[in-house]
Amino acid sequence: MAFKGDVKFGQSILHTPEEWLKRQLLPCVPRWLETYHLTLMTVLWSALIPVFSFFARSHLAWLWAVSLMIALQYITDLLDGAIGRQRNTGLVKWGYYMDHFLDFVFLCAILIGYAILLPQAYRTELLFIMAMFAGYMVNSFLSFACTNKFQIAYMGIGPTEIRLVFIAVNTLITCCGKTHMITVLPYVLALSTFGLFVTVYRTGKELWRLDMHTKNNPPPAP
Amino acid sequence: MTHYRSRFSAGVALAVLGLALSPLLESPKARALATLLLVASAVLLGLTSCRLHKTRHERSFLKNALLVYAPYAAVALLLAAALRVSLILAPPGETALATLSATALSEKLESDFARLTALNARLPERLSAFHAAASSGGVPQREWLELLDLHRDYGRLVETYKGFHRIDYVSSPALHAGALVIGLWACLRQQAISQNVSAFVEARPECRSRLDGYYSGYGKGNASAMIRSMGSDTTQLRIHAGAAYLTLVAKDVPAAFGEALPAFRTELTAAQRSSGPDTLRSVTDPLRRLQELDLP
Repeated sequence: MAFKGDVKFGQSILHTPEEWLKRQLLPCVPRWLETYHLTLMTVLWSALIPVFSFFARSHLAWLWAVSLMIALQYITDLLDGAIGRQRNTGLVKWGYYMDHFLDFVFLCAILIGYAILLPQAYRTELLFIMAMFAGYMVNSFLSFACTNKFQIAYMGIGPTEIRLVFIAVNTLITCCGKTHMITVLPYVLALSTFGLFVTVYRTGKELWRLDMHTKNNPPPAP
Repeated sequence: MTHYRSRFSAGVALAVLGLALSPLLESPKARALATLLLVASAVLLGLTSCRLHKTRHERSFLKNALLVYAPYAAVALLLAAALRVSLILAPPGETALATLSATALSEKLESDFARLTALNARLPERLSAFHAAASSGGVPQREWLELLDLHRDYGRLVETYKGFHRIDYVSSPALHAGALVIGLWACLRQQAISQNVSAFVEARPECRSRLDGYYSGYGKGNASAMIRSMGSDTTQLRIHAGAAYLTLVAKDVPAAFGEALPAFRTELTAAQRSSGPDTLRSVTDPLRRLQELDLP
């Protein structure tokens, strides 16, 4: 079976404007900048987020820098696959592996940043939220192993929308202070738990259906 | 062809919105809006059910919808309940308790326990003064305001110590247990005041409007708020979960609290036993009030 990790199933609500943006940005990428450079840039963005979050402890305006890192990671993540396909770099499996592993690193960096910013007493909540968010990624990879369909957007929500949520959260913290974020944490946890349940339940049902279909329609004996 | 689907979805959405307004039923505007939403929901659901018998597809619509959405609804309800319980027992938000050093916290616990003991000593005399003054007819304003003051003082202690779980039990077990005792005892005494007010209003319903009236610096509707709080999930969860947790950490309660602890535990057991009737009274009270508002 051919590897299809580079083909994504399921469209997020921002898919169409995202494709338009990709078409606009692709010609601007210099020749010397390759797909692997763009992928590995996430390491830099991820490293800077905890640093800026630490600075934000003394002045919340540093969260704008965190939001900038999120926006830059979005652009490099958006373009790395497209550049690879356009220039026929051929790094399909490396790109799949490194890109998604670094997405996880980036998610951890954002949550570590919040853990640095918020009082120590709220780290447990952030740990639970991290576990829930990581659950979505684990679901995607396990389901890909079973179906060879790589889906990262569920119910119209994908990584782009989540990035926008993080930028909105940073903006709200900058404008309204940390207290509101602390209040919102249990609700975020409950909602992400419910979303994960919906995702896992649907994936489970689909895999059950596929298993039953395979069982009832066995391949002809050679 | 599928109009009944959109009608059904809109009906369910309106019913959820109408039910979501139920905590605000005391406000006439909210009551009117909730009634309107529920009536609209009933009309839409009724129209849907009228259509659901013509074709085989329509007849199985409700059953299929239930089969598809019941697991989501069940998990959503369970999570909502878990969220509510966690917000009551481990409320988020900053608390001064977590930022104090062990020495400062120990001093604060001592002074607040002394304050709680003083309030506890004052409560029986304030209650008897209120009842004695009330027995002579009318509503004793001075005694009522003194009782409200006491209720507020207990409330401040409850608010301060509701974040007791932020004090690390492993490193400071005595402080953790001491904070639990102060918060829980203050909550019990608030409940005792509410029980007295509820019993008084039940015996003398004509005094209710005076007790609920506006008092400068105290606002209005204090008696009703106290009665409602008796059976609220916040109070009941705090008392019952606090009692269960106390059995685990009782060995760590500071020695200074030791003498008062048996009396506190007796009071806690009594409060737990009376929680059923308290809840019933706090539920029937607003229903009675609503009936009074609607009947000419």
